[in-house]
Amino acid sequence: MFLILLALWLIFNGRMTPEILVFGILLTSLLLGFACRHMDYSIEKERRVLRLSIQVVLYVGALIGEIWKANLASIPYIFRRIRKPAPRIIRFRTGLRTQTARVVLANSITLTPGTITVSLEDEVFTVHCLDASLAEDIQTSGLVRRLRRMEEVSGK
Amino acid sequence: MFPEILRFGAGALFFLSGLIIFVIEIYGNYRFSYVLNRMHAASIGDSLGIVLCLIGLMIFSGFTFVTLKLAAVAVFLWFSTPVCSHLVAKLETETNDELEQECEVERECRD
Repeated sequence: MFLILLALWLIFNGRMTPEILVFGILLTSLLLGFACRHMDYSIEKERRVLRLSIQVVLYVGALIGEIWKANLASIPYIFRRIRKPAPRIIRFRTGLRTQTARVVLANSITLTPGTITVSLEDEVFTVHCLDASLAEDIQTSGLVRRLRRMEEVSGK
Repeated sequence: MFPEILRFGAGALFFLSGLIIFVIEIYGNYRFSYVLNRMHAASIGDSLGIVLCLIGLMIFSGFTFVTLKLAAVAVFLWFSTPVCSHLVAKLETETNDELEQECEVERECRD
């Protein structure tokens, strides 16, 4: 977190001078302190995320692959004149236990074209899809499997 | 000389494919008539089009702070667009009483 904040500070400054660096270190430590005290954030949580970092990178790679595939799959629906898409709202459960994993999955579903998460209540995802075929394997997709593995590794 | 041309070519390729995706998105926006279907067309441009354009610009600018800024823009866009489209979709499904005329609604839950 500290490194991410510092990197953001440097990127937005656009230059690298000693003063900027010192200010950046000061400001990021202040922000980190604030987050730990008032926003329910802690170094312990960070360590847990860090342990998953390889899997996070793999997840992002898989997500980009899914977005690419979904784009190629949904572009034809725009041009098809004869067969109109059959939009549909589906409800399904995944075996994800933690809140974070569910929210990450909901965001990923919305990010991939062709599917939008309408609501997420406890366990039940409600998803609107442009055509029923786009969401056939949504429950067993690689993203869900990866999230489940991450939950197992983090021991929750 | 040669690497310059190669870089320009690669950047232009990414940028142009991004622009083509945007054109498809806009066409789709006018072709569909219902809001939730239109959002799918819009999300094509949101997810792929903008990122392809930004990758093209990154290749143009070389490895500088501008490139890093563009990468940050892409990351923030990918974080924030799902939240916005989720809100629009939720509003539409909760306020529209005639939702079932527009699309099939499954009442039971798949396990």
